[in-house]
Amino acid sequence: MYDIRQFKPALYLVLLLGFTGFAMAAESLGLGLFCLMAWGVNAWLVWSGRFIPLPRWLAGGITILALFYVIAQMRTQGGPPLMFIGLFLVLLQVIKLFEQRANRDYAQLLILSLLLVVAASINTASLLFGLLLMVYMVLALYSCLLFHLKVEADRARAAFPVPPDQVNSATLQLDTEFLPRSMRRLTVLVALTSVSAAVAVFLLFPRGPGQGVLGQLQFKPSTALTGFSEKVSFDQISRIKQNDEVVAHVTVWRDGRLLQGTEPLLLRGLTLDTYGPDPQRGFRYQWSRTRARGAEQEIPEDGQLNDDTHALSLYRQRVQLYPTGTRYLFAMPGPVHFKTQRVLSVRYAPADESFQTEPMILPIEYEVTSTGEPTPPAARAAFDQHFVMTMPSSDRAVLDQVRQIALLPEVTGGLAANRPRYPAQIDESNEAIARAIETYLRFNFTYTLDLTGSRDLLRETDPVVAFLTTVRKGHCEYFASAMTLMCQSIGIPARVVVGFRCDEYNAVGQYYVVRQAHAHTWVEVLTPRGWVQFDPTSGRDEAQQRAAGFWQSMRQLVDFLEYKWAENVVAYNNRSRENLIRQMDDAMTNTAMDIGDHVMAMRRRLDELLETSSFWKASGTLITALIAVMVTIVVFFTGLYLAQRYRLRRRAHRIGLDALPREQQVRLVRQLAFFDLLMRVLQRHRISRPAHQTPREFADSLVFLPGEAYDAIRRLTRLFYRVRFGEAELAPHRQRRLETVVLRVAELLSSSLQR
Amino acid sequence: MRRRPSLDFSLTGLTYTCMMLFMGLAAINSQANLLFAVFGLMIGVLGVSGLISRWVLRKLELHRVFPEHLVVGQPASISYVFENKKRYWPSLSVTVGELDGTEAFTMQPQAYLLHVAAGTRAIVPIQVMPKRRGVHHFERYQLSTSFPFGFVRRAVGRSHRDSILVYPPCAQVDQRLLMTCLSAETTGSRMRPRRGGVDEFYGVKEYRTGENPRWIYWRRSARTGELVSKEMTRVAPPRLVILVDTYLSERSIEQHAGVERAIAMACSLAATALDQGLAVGLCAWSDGWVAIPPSRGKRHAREMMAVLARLTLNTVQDHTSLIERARHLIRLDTTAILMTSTGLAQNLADVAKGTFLMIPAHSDQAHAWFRFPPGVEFEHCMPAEQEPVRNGIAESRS
Repeated sequence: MYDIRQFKPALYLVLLLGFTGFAMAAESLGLGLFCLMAWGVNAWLVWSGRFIPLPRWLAGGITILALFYVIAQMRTQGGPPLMFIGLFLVLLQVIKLFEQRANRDYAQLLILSLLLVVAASINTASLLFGLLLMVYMVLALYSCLLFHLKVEADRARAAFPVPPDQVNSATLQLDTEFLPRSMRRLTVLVALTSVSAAVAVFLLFPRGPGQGVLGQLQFKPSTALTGFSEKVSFDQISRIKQNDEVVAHVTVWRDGRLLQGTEPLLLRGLTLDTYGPDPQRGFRYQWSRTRARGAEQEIPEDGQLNDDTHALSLYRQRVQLYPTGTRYLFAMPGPVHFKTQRVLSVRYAPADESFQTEPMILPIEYEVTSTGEPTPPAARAAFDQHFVMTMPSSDRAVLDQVRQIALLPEVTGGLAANRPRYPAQIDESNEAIARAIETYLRFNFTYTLDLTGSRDLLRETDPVVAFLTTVRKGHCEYFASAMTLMCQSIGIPARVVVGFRCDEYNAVGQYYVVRQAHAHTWVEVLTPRGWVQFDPTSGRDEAQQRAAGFWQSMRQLVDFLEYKWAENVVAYNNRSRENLIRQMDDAMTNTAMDIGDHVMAMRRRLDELLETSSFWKASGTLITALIAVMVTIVVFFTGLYLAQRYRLRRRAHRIGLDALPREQQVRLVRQLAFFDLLMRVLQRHRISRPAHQTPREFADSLVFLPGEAYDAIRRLTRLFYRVRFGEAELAPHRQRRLETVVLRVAELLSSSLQR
Repeated sequence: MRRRPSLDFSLTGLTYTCMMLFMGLAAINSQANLLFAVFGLMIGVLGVSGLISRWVLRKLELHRVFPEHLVVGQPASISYVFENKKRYWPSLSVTVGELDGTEAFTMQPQAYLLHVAAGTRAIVPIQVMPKRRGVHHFERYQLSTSFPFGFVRRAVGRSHRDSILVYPPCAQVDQRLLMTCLSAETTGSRMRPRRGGVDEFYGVKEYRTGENPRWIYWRRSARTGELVSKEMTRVAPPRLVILVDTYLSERSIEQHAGVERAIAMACSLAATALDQGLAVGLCAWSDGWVAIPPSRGKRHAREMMAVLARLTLNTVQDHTSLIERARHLIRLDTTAILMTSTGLAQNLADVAKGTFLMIPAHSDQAHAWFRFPPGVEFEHCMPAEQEPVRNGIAESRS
């Protein structure tokens, strides 16, 4: 029996893809390398014939050790259980690889691999993993098909053994030649059907109800990543590394026209208004949000946030936000309308125009319409009044120190002279003073992400004071904190804003790509025209504008594909499903209606046509013509038929089939056309069969003819006998070939006679 | 292989279904869209496996190829020719099992087809061990498959009539037996000269009108004054006639086994003697007397084996009738051998008048002269319909 050799390579490939997928999902390079090494060693041992399976008792012992290891990891590292289940599955597979000896072990390997990939699917949804998953599924199907064949063949070999000398060699050869092709066809069929079912379930299965029934099992917790953080504190002094992880994709329209990345995008997250120590939390220097806390409210049904319609332009932002570990949503300043497709609980704080939602585990999409400008005071009078009338709760000692710097002529140019710290004022000079402070900080301080050299200075005193006095360099948080405190110290209401400043535009997808590296802090100062934005951070040393070129375009394309994947697959939800169903329903209804309209129109035209008299005249002529044509056709084909019948009867007479029944005669006459042609060819050369000779005797008597012709005539005569008496059937293509042979005989005869 | 229903859910299928439901639950719990896709994939796989298992068995024709005959106790090869008439799709992992005629063999004949591509044929040989003589008819068979994934096992029943003839067991016959058979003749020589030939001088006899005048012995005729002619010899091989006593006085296993053994001994002796060029004849009861005059040749051998294979149950004609019936076959130049299941020495002395060689089936000499293959069970060697019934239940079923 044919030995199914393709199974093991397919199995090993499936295992490799499973390991890679899980390592990708766990973002663990070390685990991936370990698996790759173990897989490679095992594969080499197997293929070189050096493999000796581990004894069962030893494999069992190693499995128990692996279990203890995983439990220990779970206790020491902590985290969701799914990660450790996946880790255990990986170790189990590796042990099984070195223990494999029978079909049962191969089945276990396949199942373990499938479970591993499922665990990975729960955690990650990246495009690369998705592509890998598709390849894995097709390969796994192929492996399962081969495995089943192998199991059944082995079982049959054991149950009904056949001696090797009795195995049919022709069947074996056919198996060798056609089995791989058959397996490919079946794999394609199974893959297509399964993928169609997968797509159908994916698109049509209801979402939402039942979520979290068994608790959350994801092993990538929604923790804050470096970059954006709700907390701005100065306790940790280190070198901040750039984090390129994508936070959001934002498409912006300005007054209905798509923004093509011509200006940077500023997205506000939350505001922080009070600076000082928080002994309870253990922070010495941090900003906190106190004024606007507790002022959140539900967004109205229509999504309208304020009725102000005086804005010059409206910016509509469609944001696809990924889980960042924060509850805050991001939008441009001056939001007037909020809309989301997903059922989200979003609360809006008018005090600082921030949006909060429940902790995100899946990407969400929402739309915000903003003015891009400070919201006029009239719309927020109560909040601003409260802000103004309340004493700033930032640390007084720090404020006192900072005030001294703020009042320096080179800082505010004397504009802030004699301004009390409390009560705060909202007047025209606020903006000018703030602008002066902004300019001062921009041109006199240096931007850097590495403050390790100034660690001691920053720890000895307040970091912001140190920044303003001795260090004179830092990142955006220092700049924003310094400006905010300077404004607050001289009675100007100010707050720190944490969000993103993005200028990376993907021309392929026509959206902004917001990354963690774009996280930024700036300042808002309360002026008569509202909270005006100031960015005191000096020029950043990393390149903001990425150079255009081929690689940039490729990167944008990849990012676009990832975005589309996230939008259409990862973020597919109930609303998307309902839309799809509605679209399908609409399409079918429209199609049915269009067909109905067309039919009605045709009917009306026909009715109109029938009513006119010219139609009847024309139709009469037409019908007459049609009848004449039909009669001609009938006569023609009848004549053709009769002529053919006559020809066949003549042929039957020549061949000698007259005495046969009609049906047999007709069949043989058609089959023996070649022999009749041969006889006619010979007759043309005055060679006729005497009546007393049989066709065989006649053929044998033609020795005087050229050798090739003689042989051909004898072969044709033998074939004649097989058809006439042996009930052989000649296929049409064979009959045509025989006629060619007869014509060749004719040529030979002609050429020999000419000589 | 039991007679399965057309669709049977296997343990693998149940396990898979449980896994699929678990996947669905995981998808609903986590709302991970990729898991929904995996869930849908598993549903698709389950569905398509049912479809493919049906396709595999469609347009798949089966023909049996039997050898000309089989022999009880000797392994033989039967081939199954699978023809896939589908234009595009192959058939894989198909098991065929006979539903009828299985009592003829020690195990139910089954074959496994790994693969037959579209529009091609595959031949699958199997080894079978026949255990009952006679004509066995094969009609119904079952094709089943669990391809592609083993979730379900689908079976279809088809029928196609074929028959096979199984000869009785054939033993190795001791040469001494043949010598003994031949020495039963009164002259005691192997190749006895007989009259009527043209070989050597045998004797003289009176010349009769019409005889060949070339044989007139003129010298003697002149001496005696009467025309005499020479009689020449004809070298004729010895002739054997085998009488098979299949009488059963009671339907017991032991008696049946004895009868089968006698038949098998007859078959073995006939085959060996014919092989050595002897002329062999047969007389037995098989729903009527069967008397085959001694002759030689392969066709005659086949005829004799076929008769022996088809011998029916005999509860009416005992050895006396058998011997009486066989008299016309037995001539002076013929050795008669009686194969019987019981010892009949006394009665035979009266009836046979010394011209029979009797071999009881259970005698020591029979065991010494006939060496049967070890797997032959004479208790179950008869055709199934002749199997003795004990307490209303057949003694054995295959």
